[in-house]
Amino acid sequence: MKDINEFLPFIIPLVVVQFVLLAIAIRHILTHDTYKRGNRTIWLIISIVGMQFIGPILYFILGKEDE
Amino acid sequence: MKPMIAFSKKECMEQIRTGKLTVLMILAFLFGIMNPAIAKLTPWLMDMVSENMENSGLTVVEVAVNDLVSWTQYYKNIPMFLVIFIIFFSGILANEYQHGTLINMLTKGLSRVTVLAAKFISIFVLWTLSYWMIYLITYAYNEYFWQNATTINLFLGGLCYYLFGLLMISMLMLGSILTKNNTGAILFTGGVYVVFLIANFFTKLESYNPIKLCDGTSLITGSLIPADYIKSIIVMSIIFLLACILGVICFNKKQL
Repeated sequence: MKDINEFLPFIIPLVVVQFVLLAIAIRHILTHDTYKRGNRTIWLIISIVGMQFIGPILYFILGKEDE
Repeated sequence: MKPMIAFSKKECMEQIRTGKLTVLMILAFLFGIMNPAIAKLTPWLMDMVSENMENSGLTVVEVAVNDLVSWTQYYKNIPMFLVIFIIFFSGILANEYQHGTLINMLTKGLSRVTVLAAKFISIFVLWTLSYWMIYLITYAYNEYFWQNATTINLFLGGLCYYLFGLLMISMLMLGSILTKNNTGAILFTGGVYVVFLIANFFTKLESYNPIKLCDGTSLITGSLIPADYIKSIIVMSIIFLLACILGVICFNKKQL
């Protein structure tokens, strides 16, 4: 368990950023009706299942519609 | 002065509203945390591969990690961030050209210099924010884990790369004025970098070459003293000013 304590200063900020990113992505999904591809349910599932950075990033690259 | 402030404000708002600021800040955060994390993980990684290496006759003795490892990582990773930054903002003028959005404002009497200055200010602010954020995060972790004990001139080392980044950004602006599109701007910036790299082959030019500013590792280990960087900082400032002046002249003559 000593190992985990040593990495705690890295893990905590990363977790915070991860949740911030997730929150931004979900807010964006819910406030927009149309997406580049896919629909609301698919993007919600993807961003929540892949919440370790990959889901929200995938949404912003592939799903977010250009204005 | 007033149109300039208003247009700068509009530019900054654009960066916030399009979410570029958020993405950049998250990236900067990840880049900042990566350096000390890699340094901290090195002994563990070595432990993992040591068994394999023992089979092939190599023995790994205990690896000592200090703040220097982390700062070396910093100077290895920061060029990557600069590349991402340049690609990210390659469209700063090209998009306006393509959509023709500048024409309206210029015909209403906004001067061309103002447009250029406001664009430059917004990109300058973003570079300053993101770069020093990476620097501060790395610095804070290194202070916490290793008290920055074995390195000197840390701030100057950081400042040097910051100045080099500014030079590259001025090249990006010049490139986008000259070529009017994304790819052209990126290629122009890359081309200038390659010219600096080639100039580095000539030993006489070495101390004047702005690319020396990338070499922060020598400064923080003490193998070079701050005075060695003065010449390249002067050359960098001259090229920077020339790029700005040339940019304004070309932009005044370009058709939109």
